[in-house]
This record gives sequence, structure tokens and C-alpha cells, in this order.
Amino acid sequence: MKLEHILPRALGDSHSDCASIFTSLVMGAHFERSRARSLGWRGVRPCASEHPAWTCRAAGSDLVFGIRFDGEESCGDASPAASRERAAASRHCLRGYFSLYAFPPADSPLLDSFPLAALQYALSPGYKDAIREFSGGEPAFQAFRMGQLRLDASFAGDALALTLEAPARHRVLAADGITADACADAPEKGWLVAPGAPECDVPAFRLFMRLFAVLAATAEQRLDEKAAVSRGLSSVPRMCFHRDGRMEECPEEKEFLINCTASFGPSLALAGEALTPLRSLPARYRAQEPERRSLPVLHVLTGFLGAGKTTFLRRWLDFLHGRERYTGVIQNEFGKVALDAALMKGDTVVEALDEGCVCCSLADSLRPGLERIIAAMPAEQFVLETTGLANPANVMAALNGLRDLVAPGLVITVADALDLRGNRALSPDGPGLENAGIRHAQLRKADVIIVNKSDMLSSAELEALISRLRALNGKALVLAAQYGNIAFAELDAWIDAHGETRLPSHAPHILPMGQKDVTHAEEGYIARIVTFEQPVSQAGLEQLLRRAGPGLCRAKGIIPIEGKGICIVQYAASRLEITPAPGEMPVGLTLIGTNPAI
Amino acid sequence: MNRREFLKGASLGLGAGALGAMGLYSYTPARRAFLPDINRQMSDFGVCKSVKVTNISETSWFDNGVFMKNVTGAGGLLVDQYTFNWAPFGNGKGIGKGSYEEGIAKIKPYIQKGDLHGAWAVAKENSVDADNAGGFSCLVEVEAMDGKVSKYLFDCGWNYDWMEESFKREGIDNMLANGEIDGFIQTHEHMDHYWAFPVVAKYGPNVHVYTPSTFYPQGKQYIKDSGHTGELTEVKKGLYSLQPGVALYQFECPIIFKVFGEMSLYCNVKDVGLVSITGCCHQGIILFADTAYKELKYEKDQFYGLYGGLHISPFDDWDPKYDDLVIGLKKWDLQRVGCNHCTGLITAQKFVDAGYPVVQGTARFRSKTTNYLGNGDIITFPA
Amino acid sequence: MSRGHARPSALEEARKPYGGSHADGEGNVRRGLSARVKQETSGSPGGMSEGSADKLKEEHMSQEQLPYLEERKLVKRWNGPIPALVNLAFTLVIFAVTWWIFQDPRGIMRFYTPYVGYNYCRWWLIILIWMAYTFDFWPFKKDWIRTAHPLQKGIVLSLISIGTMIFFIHGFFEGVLGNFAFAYFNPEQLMKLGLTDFYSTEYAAQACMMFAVIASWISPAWVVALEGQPWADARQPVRGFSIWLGTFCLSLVIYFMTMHNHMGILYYPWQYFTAICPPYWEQFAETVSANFHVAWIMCCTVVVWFVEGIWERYPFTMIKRDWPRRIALFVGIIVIAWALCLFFWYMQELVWGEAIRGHRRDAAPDWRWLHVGETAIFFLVPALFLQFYCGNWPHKFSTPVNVLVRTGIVIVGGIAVYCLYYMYAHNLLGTQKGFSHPQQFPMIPMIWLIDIWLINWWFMDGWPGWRREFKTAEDLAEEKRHIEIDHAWNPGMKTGLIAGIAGGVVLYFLIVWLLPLCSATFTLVK
Repeated sequence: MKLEHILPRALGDSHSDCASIFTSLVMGAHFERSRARSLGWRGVRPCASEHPAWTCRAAGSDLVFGIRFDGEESCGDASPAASRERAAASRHCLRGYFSLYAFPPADSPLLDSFPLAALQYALSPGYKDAIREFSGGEPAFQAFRMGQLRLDASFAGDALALTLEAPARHRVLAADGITADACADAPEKGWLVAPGAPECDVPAFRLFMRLFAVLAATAEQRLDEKAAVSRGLSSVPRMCFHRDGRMEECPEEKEFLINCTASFGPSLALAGEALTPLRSLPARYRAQEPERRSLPVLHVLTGFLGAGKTTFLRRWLDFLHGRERYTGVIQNEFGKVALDAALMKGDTVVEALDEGCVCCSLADSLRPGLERIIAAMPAEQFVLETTGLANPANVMAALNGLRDLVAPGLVITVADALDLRGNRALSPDGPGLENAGIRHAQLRKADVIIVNKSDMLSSAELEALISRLRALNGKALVLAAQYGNIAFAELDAWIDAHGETRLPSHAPHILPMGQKDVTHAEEGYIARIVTFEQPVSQAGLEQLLRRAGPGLCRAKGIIPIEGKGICIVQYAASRLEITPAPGEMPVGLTLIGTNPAI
Repeated sequence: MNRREFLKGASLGLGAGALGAMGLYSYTPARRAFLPDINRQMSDFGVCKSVKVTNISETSWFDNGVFMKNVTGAGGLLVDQYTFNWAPFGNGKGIGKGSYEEGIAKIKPYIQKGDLHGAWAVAKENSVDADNAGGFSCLVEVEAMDGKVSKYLFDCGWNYDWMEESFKREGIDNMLANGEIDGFIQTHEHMDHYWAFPVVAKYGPNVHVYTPSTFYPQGKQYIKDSGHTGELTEVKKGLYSLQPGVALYQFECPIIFKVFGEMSLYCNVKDVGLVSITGCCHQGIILFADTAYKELKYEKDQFYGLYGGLHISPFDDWDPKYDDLVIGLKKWDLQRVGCNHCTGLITAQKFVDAGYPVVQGTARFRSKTTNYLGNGDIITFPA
Repeated sequence: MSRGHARPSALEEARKPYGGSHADGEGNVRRGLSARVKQETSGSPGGMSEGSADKLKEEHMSQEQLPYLEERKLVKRWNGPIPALVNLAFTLVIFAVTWWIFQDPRGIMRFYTPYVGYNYCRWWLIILIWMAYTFDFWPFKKDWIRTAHPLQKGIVLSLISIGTMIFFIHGFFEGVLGNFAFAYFNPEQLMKLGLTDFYSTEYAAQACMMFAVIASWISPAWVVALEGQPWADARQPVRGFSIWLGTFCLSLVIYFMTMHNHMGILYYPWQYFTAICPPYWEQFAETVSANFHVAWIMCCTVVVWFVEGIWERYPFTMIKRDWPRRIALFVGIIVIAWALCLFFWYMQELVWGEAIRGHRRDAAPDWRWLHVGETAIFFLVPALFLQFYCGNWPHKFSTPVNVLVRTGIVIVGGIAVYCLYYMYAHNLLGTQKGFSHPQQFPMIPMIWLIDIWLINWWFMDGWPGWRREFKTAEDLAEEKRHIEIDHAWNPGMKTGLIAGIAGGVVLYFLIVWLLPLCSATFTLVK
């Protein structure tokens, strides 16, 4: 065991070295998100304060844990003269103390067994925000403090031990009872807590064991060594308090204080600590099957022509790459020209599958494409951006044959609020665009629906649209977005929420007899490319688009525009956007639609 | 003299004098002379007049795709950077199979001769994607209250050729040679901030070098191997004052590619507020700002300006709706932001969209967007 | 290093804030008032002393124009310190009982939330001042005031004062202003706007209380400093109503300039259009909180009573011309209050280090300003005790020396009360331990005690330790002579004055030098 794997320097007298070890341990585990998650971490938030503090969640528990570094002291014998036998018992080490706090969600039944002060605080409106700002010193939080973590590290750097100590039941009796007359609406005297009954009764040790198991497993991984786990038990007098605030020991009644130690290297236990060795770490988190599998995840991004898939993808990649979660992209475009790939270049590794659509004509080229990108960039996850006309049901069928290469991830459908509203405006009571064709198929199959361009709708319209989409696909997470921006961590939270069950998109897909999944070929979508040798005027371009007729759904390209130079042209849902893009290579204008008359 | 009257006057005077002193002295700035030096949480590190940052290079690498391929190809984010077989420490054995010792052995003769171009050419043959390497480096000029200007070179980049060219573009080579640089601050050991150190040592072998105390043996050896002969200060965790109003802060945190500890620079500008200059800010920009808020005393309690790469926290937040830098930074009410490097092009765009006071750059010398304070651009605090 | 949670005792420590005593709700507070009035009525003893009322009446017809408090003379019933001790014991018993009934967080009505209780005791104080000082007990007949038994008078007048207080708090501020002018005076309006029950009640009480803070400085200052001018010669109730209206309006104006902005910034979003947000004092005081004004106004209140009591309005009485004296006195109170206010701030800096904006509890500037006011109140308690129950001892020296000795006694006494309070109050009064706990509000018990003393002294003529008599013409002549002769400037004092001022400055810096040493040596609250 080498402590330098965690803290690459000798221990000193900074009075916060144990906090540094803790930071390093936890932060190091988070470089690779998947690794942190398979250890059981479910989010950590550090808090800067004189005494370092953190809040976190652990798998298998809905609590938010608060951890606060209280201080450290050196113990054991520093003199080299200590005899070999005594060396183990009196190894010179640094012992750091951390207070542990447990914050249940405000609606948790567990709160009923918490101290009344804690319950009262948890029901106040600012509870959740207050926890986020946890630094441990707040008096309001003292009622949530129920355990302690100790961290021992030898100065020699050859031993580390983590110890959780908490009462089996955190229980305090109300000797005089607590009357309910404090409540304005219950004037008659009733007992809130009968005399001699426990005012709180929290299974503290069990609650913190989740957190401790995650911490110990993290240390095991960092030190590449299995922890020696032991358990100790001591009894302490049971406490009760009187109405006047006096606190005293109940005669002849005992509470158990349990401690659990995970140690690495020579034991750092102090003389006199009676410990029972355990075979393994209790309450250890076992990663779910997909987390254990080392296959990368493949998310499928769909959305009708011009809905904003590429915009969304670029923003998502920015989020992921900012967190070092490198992600490769496979793009497929309906049309000869890889415009999207041109727009994304420099962002990440992009594999372009051009001309055709993965959902039908290109299904066979998906495997080699995937193999190429995995070889080039063995990332944790990939995103397949389909054409705006792809039916994800067909793509999913194709993906089923790729299970040896990738684990299936989310199906994300970007919906164009403007496009879906436009139809509504014409016939308010008729079936919306979302109820038919490719759009319908894309929305039905989605795990997550991103309602893009939501800023173009009034809030009432947006609400109506979202509720229509919810009715269409009740299982999907519906998020409103502007310019493809959402709180991207919501996607991870959504995957977590379905960690135990199947994602909706992977539900078995059985069609009524005699029916086939819709494909765009049947709907008559085709792509045409127009190239411009000479700069075209904006009016000319608009005229061209008008001429293409109502069947035109989408136009995009990089073309020279009069007076503006080379521009990116995007047309969808009757909205034309022209953005100057000096330095790009013109690639022509692709028109997609049902029989565009050109 | 009438003793009786004297006593009456003295009694009256005693009260008047004490009350007068109370009123006239108790709330003046002079009162601080008597304040005990008790354990205050907020450190006062003085003030300076203004700060100017010249971006020498912010483009650590030129193509993200290539870089990501390297990282994932070598085995991920926990791999030791010295084993990547990145230039200049290539040994010709391919990605993920390099070592510092083998790499430095191949280029050391050239470094000793001062032929950095030659050294890089050798490294290029033996390493992966050497042309993708750029580097992060900037020049910080601090004007003290008496008008004296101190210059600190902040990181030194990665690619010898690119950095030598960039140094020459901004005149850093002459400043180093003339001894105008008061200190060279190495924020952390990452390749894109540190591996062009021979360029610094070539022009200014005697420059005073500050590094975190947590460099690995290879990193420490590299300073010697580069021919540095000047003073070396290893900064321990916490605050380290350089001059009035200027201090380093070392955060002990593990960083990807097996690096440990990063320093940032805090400048307290008189009547303006705190200005922070970061390399990557691997500890997380929010934690960085929080630390300043809770531990430092600065003018007007205003977090005024920020320059550098704004890395978000390496942690997942347990509440997904907060996991956004744009939201997280809002509460600081920053007045002047120059972001680049690892901030993210879209994040920078989002800052601009959200109305943050982002100082626009000129997108020259291979910088990608005007939302970045790009290569060759200058930002001053106050404006 | 705060550790030791592992020990079982530390685990209880963790739950101490609960302690079983927090379970009081708002219901108690609500039900409290009416019950309180009833209780006091039913507990009233009958009987009225039938002294030689008629004789007294005749004897003092000539002094009709003198306010009652100035015409009476209280004479000790027994020699030595016995009357003082008896009255102290008597008032402390009343304090203990009423504290338990009304304020104690473990007691019956639990007004100590803390602002609800603070609001009541602060308003009670100002009503007492209005009744005795401004209205000179109008509308009660002078005869009755002069002749009624102290107990009877005490009970009747106290009940009237409580009724008036309830009228002002709940009728005028909460009912009228709260419903038709400023939502922040009325908890129900605040609740409608989405505040929780507890905070609406607290904040509304705070808003209302802050008016009383200002009025309890302006009202007595008008009488003490401006000598009731320009209405001093009018008869009651014209005099009373004029002064009352004048001071009430002035207090309102000051309220708008000090406390209203605080209310404007207290609620989110800031009320830019109706209040100056952030308030103009922000830079100077390092806080947006009106606690800054509470600090200096509290000092003004305290200084008014210093001037009136232990200082006998000296040295301002040396100015023999009326208007210059009055104005000097009015301004002087403010100046002295500011000096004290700034010094009390500095004192905290010397002991606890500089205040830090944005910090909580005892490093926060807003709490520091509040504590300035709290500190001031600690000194008012011994000052009033000395004035009332110790006959403003000593008298045997020349006036400046007397004043200095009294001031010294009050300083020592104030420090003693301060220390005793923070060492033991949490055991006795059910308040919280520590200086800056949000539930720690020493102003409440201190003002509660002062309220009781004022009732005992003003309404009950110092019963049981004192007997009421009336000043004879000789007494009044002696008082006049005392002011004329003893409070006079003598050029011979000049040298002494200069030496004294120098000494005062030295003394100040000595204290400033000593305070950090003291704080390093003693720990008041463990």
C-alpha cells in the first residue's frame, strides 16, 4: 500500500492533510465519470470553507450526505525506538475527523424518525438550497449530524484506514414528552411524543454505511488493494432530555455505537480497540450490468429535418468535453454533402456516413463506420446523429445487431417547436404534424424529447405543445430548449432513473399484424443538390425556395451570397437563416422534401 | 490654582476627552492600528494598482479530435502524461508506451546546445501527433501602488517551435534575456502548460521559478535538464504572497493525466476588486471563486475580473439542474472576463449570450473564436 | 479543532439546538395578548390608601403647573440600603413571573420569538414614556394621581398602558398602516405575498418595533432636551397631544429615512421604486441592514436617560440661555450617542477582529451593529438603578465629580450585567447560549426589566421601599439654586478641563490597548 498513490507528498503539519487525502481520493475517482458511478458515487459538490466540506449522494440511497472536515491530530509513537511488537499498535499516524450529516429528501418518511428540529427545518421551503450551500458550521444542520468518519494515515505512507462510527440507532428519549399544544390548530393537549418515548430514532449507522462502502471501495481502487474490514461495537448510555433542556443519561439503558474500519497496510488501530474482522465490505455497491460492461454506449439522436439536431449536439459535446467525457460522433446525412460534418470539425472525431439513411439503405454501412470510429477513438460513448428523415424504430432494429460493439443508450428526439406549431395554427383541432409520418415515429420512440426553438412560442403555446407530446409519449422526458441548450446533466439523471429498468426506447416493439414501420422512401422524401457558381442574392435564394413548393422541408448548405461572401444557409419550418462563414468551402445547397419542384 | 475648580474641570474634561476620542477615532481607518492580529479567516495580501495580461498562446492543441484520439487511445484520463509518447518525450514505441527518461535522452543533446528546433524535430519523429501540440502561456504585468511594474511569465506552453515563435511575437525572449521577468509561474505540470520549459530556460536560465510543491520527480528533473540555474520556489498549499496585492494560491487537487496540484494567481486591484488569473483551474472555477470569497480579503468585496481557462468542477453535481457553468458563475457578478483555452467554444458563446462581460478577442494566430481572448490579445484590469 | 463527536456526549451536543424547547409555535403568541390582559385584571388586589389626600391637595395647588414626576418627592421608608434591596427583590420577582408568563421560550406565551416579544417590550416602554413624560398622566385627574395607593395606581396605569400598546401595535400599525399603506406592517398581508407564517410575524413585528426604537429616543429627548418647547406652557392635554403629535411625526420621518429602506431591501425583489435600495448607508456601515440605525438610535435612547438621570443634564445646564441650551442638549445627545455607538463597534473589533461583510453571526457587520445597541442597553440598567433606587448617589462632591463617579459606577455595573448576562442568562431566561445566536436578544430582558422599574418608580412611586411626599417650596428653591450655582462655569476650571481632556484621550487609548488583552485572557462564553 502506498499512500503516495493518493497524495504524492509526505504528510506535514498543514492541519488539513487529511482533508487533502480525502479530496484527492474522491476527486481522483471522478476523472472518469463511468468509473465514479460504478463505484457508487452519484454526485459530489465541494464547498470551500475554512473547514473543507462536501455534499454527495451515493447509489442505493436517496439521502444527500454532508461531510465536514473537523480537524486532525497526530497520534501514536513517533520515536524510532519503539519496539517491533509495539510498532503496529503505536504507528505514528495522522488522524483526521470528519462529521457526517444525513439529509433525507423533504418528502421522505425517514424524516419522521429524525429529531423534530431536523424535521421542522426539512419542511421549510429553502431546505434543498440550504443543503447545497452546506459547509457544516450552520447551527440549523446540527440536528442532522449523526455520525463520524475518521481517516488515519501513517506518516511512513504505508498505512491508511477509514473508520465510520455511528450509533446503531440515534435515539434520544423525551423524558417529559412533547405536547402538541404548540400547534395552533390543535388547542387540546395531545402528546406529540409521549413521556419516555424516543424523540428521534434514526438508524444512523445503516444510513451512513452506503456512503462508507462507496468511500472504501474508492480507496480500494486507488490503492489497488483489498481493504481489511473489521467491525467494533461499544455501548454508551441512552440519553434523554427534560422539558427544561436538561440532558441526562437514562439509568440502565444502553445504545450501541458501531464502528466499521476499512484499513490498508499495517493496522493503525489504537491499543484496546476490540475489532471483529469481517470478510468483505458490507453494503458494497454492485454496479448494474450496463455499467459493468466495458462496451461504449451509443446514443441515437433523431429529429425532423431542420429541428436543430446538430446545434443540440454541438452544445452537448461542449458540456461533455468540458467534463472530459470524450464522445465520438457518427453522422449520417440525407444528401451527398457532409455539411454537418463540416460544421463539427474540430469539435471531436466525426465519422460521416453520407448519402442515404442509416435506417434503411445504409444499415449495413453502420457497422464498419462504428468499428472505424471505435478504433480511432476508444471513447466511453458515441452519438449517432441520424438524418432528419430516419425512423428510429428502424435504426434500433439495426442497432440490435451491433450489441457486440456498443451498448444501446438514449434515443433523443429533437422536436422543432416552430414546425409543430405551424401546423396547429392552420387547423387547431385537426391532427398535428406530430401525429403522423416520420415525426410521429421519431417522437414515439424517444426516451428524451428536446423541444427546440421554444423561445419562438408563447408560453401557453409551448405548454400546450409539451402536453401534446406527453400524451403522445408518456414515458419520455420532455425538455424545452433554446438553441439546443438544456441542462445536460438531466440526461444523465434520466439514465440513472432508469438504471434498474429498461429505457423506454428499448421496450419490445411489436407492430399490429400486417403493418410495417414507416420509412421515408414510402413518404416520398428525396434530396436535391443545387450548386452555385456565382454568388446568389438573398432574394434569389428566397425565390428558389418558394419555387420548390410546399413539399420542401429543409434546405441547408454553404454557398456564396451576394454582398456577404460564403454563408451557411439553413432553412426549416419556413425560417431562413443566413450566417456568414468566411473561410468555409462552398458545398452547395441541399434541398430535402416530398417532391420539391426544382 | 484652585484645586477644587481644577478637579471639577478635570472631571468634566475626562468625560469629554474620552467621549471625544471615542467619536473621533473609533471608526476611522486609523483604528486598525490597535486591532489584534487574531486568527482571521480572510487573508489580507495588500493591493496593487492595475493588472495587464498579454495572451502569448491559449491554443494548447489545435485539433480536439486528434487530442481526444490520443487520450482515449493511450487508455484514458488516468494515464501518466509522461507515458503517452507525446512530444517531446517520444521514444518511438507508439501511443501509451513512452517514458520521460527515454524521451529526454533523445533530445537532451539538442537542448543543451540551445537548438530547440532540432530537439522538437527529433521528438516529432519519435512521438504521436507532435504537430497538434500548441501551448498555454501568458504574460502578467502588475503595476504596484508606487507605479513600479513587475512582470510574471505565467506557464510556458508545450510545442517548442510554436512557443518560441509566440514568445518572439510578444517579445518575451528579450524580456527573459534582459532579466525583466520577475518570476516564472508554473501553475501545474500538464504538458500543454509546462513542456516547453526549455524555451524559458534558453532565454532566461536565471529566472526565478515558482512551481507547486507537488511536482512529480520527472517534472522536477525536467527543470534541471532544461538548463535552469536560477532560484526555484516550491509553493505549498494555500496562499503564497508574491508582492503586495499579488499572491499565488495552491490547490491540492489531483488532475487528469496523473498531475497533482495547481496554482492560480490572485491580484487585489485597489478600488476595483479581485482579479484572478488561472491556467486551467482544474479545481473547478466555482470552487476557485468560492475559495477567494471565503479566504481572501479584497477591495470592495467585488470579484472583478477573470482570465484564463475556466474548467468546471471535475465532480458531477448531485443536483443536475445546477450543473452549468453559466448559472454557477452568475452570483459573482464579474465585471470583466477574458476566457479561452479549456473554457469551451460554446461555453464562451453562452457567456456572451447570457450577457456576461466577456472581453472579445481578435481570433488571430490560430485562435478559433472572437469570444476567446485569443493569441496575441491583451486584457487589462481595470478596463 | 471541534471534534469528539464520537463520544456519546458529543452526539447529544449535536441535538442540543432542539432541546425540547423549540416546540413552541405561533399559536401561543396569538392567543397570548387577550389572555394576558384578563389575567392581570383578575389578579388585581383591591384597597386604596386613604391618606391625607385632601390636605395634600390643598398644599400643592400652587404647584399645579409642575409635572407630577417633578412635584413629588420620594422618601425612603427605611434607612440604609434596605429600600433599594426590597424594591430590587420586588421588581425581580415581578420580572421573573412576567418573564415566564410572557416571554420565556419555555414558558406560557413565549413571545420571545424574538421579535414579537421585543416589539411588545419596546412599545410598552414608549407608551410608559408617553403616559408619564408627555401626557403627565392625563386623562387621569391630578388628584387621583397624587393620592391613589401606589399599588392601585400601578395596576390601573399598567393595564391602560398595555391596552394602549395593543391599540398601537395591532390597531394602528398592523390594522391601519398594514392594511392600507405598508404591507410590511401586517403579517397577514405578508403571508398573502407568500412569506411563511413565522417570518411574516417576525418581520412585521420588527417593522413595528423599529418605530418604537425611534420614538423612545425622540419622545423623551423632546421633553428632556427641548424641555417640551414650544408647548411647555400649555395645559394638558394640549401640551401632551402637541408634543406627542410632534414627536410622532418626527419619528415617522426618521423611520422613513432609516428603517423603511431596510424593509425595502429585506424583501425580494428589492423595492427600488419605493425605497432607496441598496440603502445610502451601505458603504459607510458595511451593511444594508438598518441594524446600523438601531445601533446609534439605541445609543441615543440610552444617552437621553444618562443625561436626564445620572448626569442631571450637566454639563449642558451650564448654558444659562434657554434656546442655546436646549439645542445644545438635543444635538449633544446625538453626538454623544454617536461617539458611544462607534466606540462600541470598535470594542467588538478589538475583541473579535474586524467585521467581514457577507459573513454570518458574530463577524457580520449587521449583527455587530445590533450588538452595539445591545451593549448600550446593558449600561442603561445600572444607570436607572442608580438613579431610582440609589437616589443618584453620590451627592457629596461637586457636580462634575458626582457625575464622573456615577458614570464610573454605571460603567462597572454595565460590564458586570453584560458578563453575568452572557454567562448565566441561557440557564435562567431560556435564551440561547453565545453572543450572536439569532435567538439571543439581550435587549428584551433588559428592556423588560426597565419597563418594570419605570412602572415601579413612575406609576407606583417606588412602593414598597419609598413613600411619596411632595416637594415643598424650599425643596424647589434648593433645586433651582443647585442648577444655578453648582451647574455653573467657572474660569478656574479651564486648566483642569484641558488636563482632563488629555487624560480622557489617554484613558481611551488605554482601554483600546487593554481590550484585546482582556479578550485573550478571559472567555465569557465557553
